[in-house]
Amino acid sequence: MKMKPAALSAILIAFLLGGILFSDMLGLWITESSKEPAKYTSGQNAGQYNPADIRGSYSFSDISNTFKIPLENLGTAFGVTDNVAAFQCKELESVYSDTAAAGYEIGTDSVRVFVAMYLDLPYQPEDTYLPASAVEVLKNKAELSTEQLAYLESHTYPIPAPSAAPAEPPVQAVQPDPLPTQAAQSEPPPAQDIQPTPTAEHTTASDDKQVKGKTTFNELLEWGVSREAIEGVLGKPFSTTAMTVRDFCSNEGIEFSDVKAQLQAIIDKQ
Amino acid sequence: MKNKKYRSIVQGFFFILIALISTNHVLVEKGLGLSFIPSASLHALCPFGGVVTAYNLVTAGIYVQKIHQSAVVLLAIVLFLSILFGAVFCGWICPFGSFQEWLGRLGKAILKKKYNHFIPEKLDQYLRYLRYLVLIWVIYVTAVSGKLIFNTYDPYHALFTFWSGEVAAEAIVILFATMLLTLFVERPWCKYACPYGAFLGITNLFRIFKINRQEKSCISCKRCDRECPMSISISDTKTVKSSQCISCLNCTSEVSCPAADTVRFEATKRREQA
Repeated sequence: MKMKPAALSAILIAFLLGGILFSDMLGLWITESSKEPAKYTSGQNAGQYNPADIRGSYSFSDISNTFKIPLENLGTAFGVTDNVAAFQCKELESVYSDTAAAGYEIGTDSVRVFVAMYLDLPYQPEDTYLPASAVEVLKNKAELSTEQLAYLESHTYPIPAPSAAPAEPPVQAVQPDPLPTQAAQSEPPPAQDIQPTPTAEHTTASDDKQVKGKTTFNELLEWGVSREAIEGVLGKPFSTTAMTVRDFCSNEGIEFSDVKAQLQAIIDKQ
Repeated sequence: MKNKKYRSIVQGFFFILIALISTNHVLVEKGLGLSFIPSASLHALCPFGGVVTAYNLVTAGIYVQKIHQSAVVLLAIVLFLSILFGAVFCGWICPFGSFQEWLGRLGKAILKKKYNHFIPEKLDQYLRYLRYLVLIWVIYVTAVSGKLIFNTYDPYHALFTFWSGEVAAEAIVILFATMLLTLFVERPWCKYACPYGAFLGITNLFRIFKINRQEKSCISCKRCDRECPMSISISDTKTVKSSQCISCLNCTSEVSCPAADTVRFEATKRREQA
């Protein structure tokens, strides 16, 4: 049976467009994310939406609807006044591009941190900064632990309106700490001036052996944690040492905060 | 050239369709979209997304970031078409392949007979395997990281989104390099670097419709070789099984072969003329 160009043209268009239409009728033609983050699978927050799964494509409206945070609070926190509902998290990177250039990233992870602190949900930030306006909203609307306040003090960037030049970062160096919830309070840090003081130096995990979001398996092995110990904590083997522990946990559906705590305990015992 | 217009029409149709939908998607995100045009990201419309996410989907039940179910649907449709017709997606549908062909006409017009003859044949033979290395690398790094690593280097994505601010500098560089090469070599990305083309090319080994050349009626004019956008030597083969064949039908008697019923795209084995 010979196939001529005219017939092939018709077949290709029919199959492609027809296939798409048919899949759409079956509900299989999905071209965007569900705008619904994953939920915690274990612990006291099991079943609740996990802010760690907030994607850059989520709009403030998606976050407001999912996490039940008033839209105006999100807008006020991140200095968004126009079309707050449709504003996507990933747009923060371009809005706050000046701060990124100065080395203080404000983006989707800032929203994750904000939501986690607003709702007192566990979340491991990646050395993330928040604008001063977001910190104000959190102080007014959320019940923050002393650890959370300390984290905010060291990770707040004083932001003027996005069109203005960024403020110069103060030079006081403060070591960033992990972000615990109120339920896990430890000894409060010394009293500090609440004025925003971003770190002047960014220490890497390899300098202080702190397990963070960007810590890779390579780093853990270099710190003397055996592969057996790591896999014992994870409950499964890992192959790619260049991968971050957090990404591995995300791919495998494992709660990173639990893994982090156990690995940190192993490191601290050494 | 007889019947060549059908492929041009189909190529133009899909190029414009993809351009419209992906552009509208970016505009929708900025609050400026047109409601009467569908909106979807380029990743949602690319069947290669289904290839790169397959490992994560099968092993962990999750999609790689930016990839959606539509990519898997497209993968299935294109795979079905490929089993029938080989890498026909490359020759008729892929907007980036079409773009290279159109740009290549400029190179042909300027360089005339020198066009597409800059790379020595021996070197060209080995370079054709490069795209398989790209395919293996892309699948591996995506599977391990769960992220769309290839997006950073993808010139197809850069072509349609360079104006949106969401494209990596590396992809822009590769796009411009491809465009420059296209002025000297026909379809350079398809021949040497495209991972999806590498994947689909495998189906040419067992496609149901094959390109057969009738030796008895062939006049050995080598017109088929000159018309082939992938520089395959058709004049000395009975059945084209090359993984580089994009099933464009340019070599067939329906399009450019001057001998009637000699080079055919058909579903039976090569038949001897009576």
